[in-house]
Amino acid sequence: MSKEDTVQILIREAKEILTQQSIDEFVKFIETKTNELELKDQFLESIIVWHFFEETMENMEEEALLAYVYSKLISRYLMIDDIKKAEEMYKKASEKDLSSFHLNTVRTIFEKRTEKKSKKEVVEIAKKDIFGDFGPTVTAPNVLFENNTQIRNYILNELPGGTYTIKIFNHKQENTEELQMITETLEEFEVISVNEIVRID
Amino acid sequence: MAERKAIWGSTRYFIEIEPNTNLFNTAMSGLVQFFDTRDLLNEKECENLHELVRTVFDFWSTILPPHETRVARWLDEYFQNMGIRSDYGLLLRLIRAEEMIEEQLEDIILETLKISTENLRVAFNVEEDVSIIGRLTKIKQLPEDEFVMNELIQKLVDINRVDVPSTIKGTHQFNLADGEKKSIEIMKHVNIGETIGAYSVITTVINRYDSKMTDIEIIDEIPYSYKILMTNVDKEGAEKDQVRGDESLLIKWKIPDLNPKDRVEITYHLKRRINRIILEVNEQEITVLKTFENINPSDLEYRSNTHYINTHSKEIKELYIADTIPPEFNILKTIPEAIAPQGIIERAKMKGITVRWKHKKVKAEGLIEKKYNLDYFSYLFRGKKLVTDKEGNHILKSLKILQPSTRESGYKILYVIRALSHIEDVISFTDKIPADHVIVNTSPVESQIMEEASDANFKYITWITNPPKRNEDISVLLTVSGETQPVFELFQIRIGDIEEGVVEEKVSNIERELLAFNLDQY
Repeated sequence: MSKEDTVQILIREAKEILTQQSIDEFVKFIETKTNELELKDQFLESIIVWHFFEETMENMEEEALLAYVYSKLISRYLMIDDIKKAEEMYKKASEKDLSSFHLNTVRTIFEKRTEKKSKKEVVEIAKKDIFGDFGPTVTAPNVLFENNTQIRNYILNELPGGTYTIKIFNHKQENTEELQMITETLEEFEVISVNEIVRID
Repeated sequence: MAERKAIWGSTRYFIEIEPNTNLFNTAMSGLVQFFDTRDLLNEKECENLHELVRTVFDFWSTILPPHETRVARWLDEYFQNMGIRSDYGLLLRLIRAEEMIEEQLEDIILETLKISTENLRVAFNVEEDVSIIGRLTKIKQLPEDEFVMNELIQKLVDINRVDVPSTIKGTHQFNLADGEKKSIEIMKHVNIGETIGAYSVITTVINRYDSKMTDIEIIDEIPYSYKILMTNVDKEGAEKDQVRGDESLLIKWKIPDLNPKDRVEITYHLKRRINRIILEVNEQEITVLKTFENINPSDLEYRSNTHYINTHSKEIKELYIADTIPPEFNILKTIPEAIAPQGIIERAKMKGITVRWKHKKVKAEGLIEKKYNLDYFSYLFRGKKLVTDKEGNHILKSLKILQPSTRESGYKILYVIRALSHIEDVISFTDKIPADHVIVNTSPVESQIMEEASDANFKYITWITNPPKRNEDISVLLTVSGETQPVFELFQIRIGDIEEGVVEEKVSNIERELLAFNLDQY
């Protein structure tokens, strides 16, 4: 059986499942079949099936599944070292403003593989004080970072141990994100706490 | 200890897993982190084992072909290296099938009925102020599959877990002069007590009417998870009675009358019990018994002696016991020693300890005894006080942290003041410690600390200091020596000649927290 035949039969079956059964069954079917293909090193066939999945989810406006399929497509193209196609998928996912845990992981892997650089500015670093409050006590560095990993390394290597929240402005995407980091050793305590507000006239 | 372990077949990518418990089952949650050779790529808090396993599998599949068996074996090896008794079969099934086990459980449990346990009181040697809660869960049949069986037990333990409330219900009834009968339901907060492991509930009745209140009846429902150590009432003629309710001890008070503007205050001093769930498993039904076990002081430690007896006339196929230790305690020793698979001490991060026991073929009248030697879990007291003026402007905030010393008997107290506005006058902190406790060290040494006897039980310590500059801190660390428990009290503040006035707001609670500081290192 040729490549096309295998994939076409698989896609036809998937379409039938989608019309006759649920979307969950459809996803399960695609996952199982692509796993089988990939275990036989048939990554190109798997990619074709994932593109069919992409198209279907786009028509159904299923954002979570669309984010999932882009994580698959980017990683699959990376596996076969087709950086150009991986980048195309990466851009598509960014344009659609998609986000999910695995998509974010795959994006980071892609950015590191291709050394994609963003311009990230640390706007504010707040450190947890002894009262348990976050205060902007740490001066933000006056440099642009290429990615969050660089920011994490900066906090880890340049600042004393502590619990930090870092506000970051991404100049390329023009959005703000917040990063949390604990660079001190935490111990578990049973804490008996009393908070009072009193007035002194 | 969590280790960073390479994905098999890759030299570039690594995974680190930090489970929140050492007990391997589908409820196991934890943090999963992915790294490349240099950096953290992403991390996820997973709520259960299924999510954890799928997260690892999905990451693995972004790097390499999706080998389910290889991922399951990698995970099994990872957990075994951490000393967690994992199961390759369950890991593989969770990677392959999602809600399979949950679906099977839904078919197994048929119904749950309430059963009387009065006949068990003598056999279980239960005290007068506590009941045994009984349920009978009918099942289609016991699952043959070991994983499903384990999950069934876990599910029944979860369903029957006793939630220890932070409020108790009270009902107040009384008559007014015009013959009107009033009935009010009030939720009363369980307050932290003066020392570790002590709790209190205060019932207050104030006559806010213009006429006398008569035939006052108060019913306070104290859950069996709490043992009443002592009760104080500040009204003569108040009569107390108690009745065992379904899940709480009902304390009933009768007070003949109360004049306008008069008040009555009843204080319950409480401590926690071990909540025990017993599952007597037979072919088509599982008897669930919930009992409450006392913890008693013994020398410098605490002990709990529990016993179970099979009161059925036949052998019980399998018996499971889950003992939830109150969070303020840590287990030093169990007798017999908890050795897997018969005994497992489950330590769940931020939650506490549950000891699980499993016995097979328990004969009629068979006796099973378990003893626990306990000590307090690492604890600290943290009191914060925000001082405002009458317009509500913040003047200063202050902090007291009290932490038992790990190296010697005694404890350390840290006081911190942060000025939130310009303060000119001297600030003084007045706190209370047991009379026989002694301050052995003060840091910085030049800090001005005064001691003054209060009564036979307590003495006052006062820290007098110049105010810090606005938004700056000033602190003092005291090392106190004492053989008894420290007292959890919040200090009083004075600025210049002015003492603190009305408490506008007060919130207290006890919970596990992850903290970085250790006063022993100061």
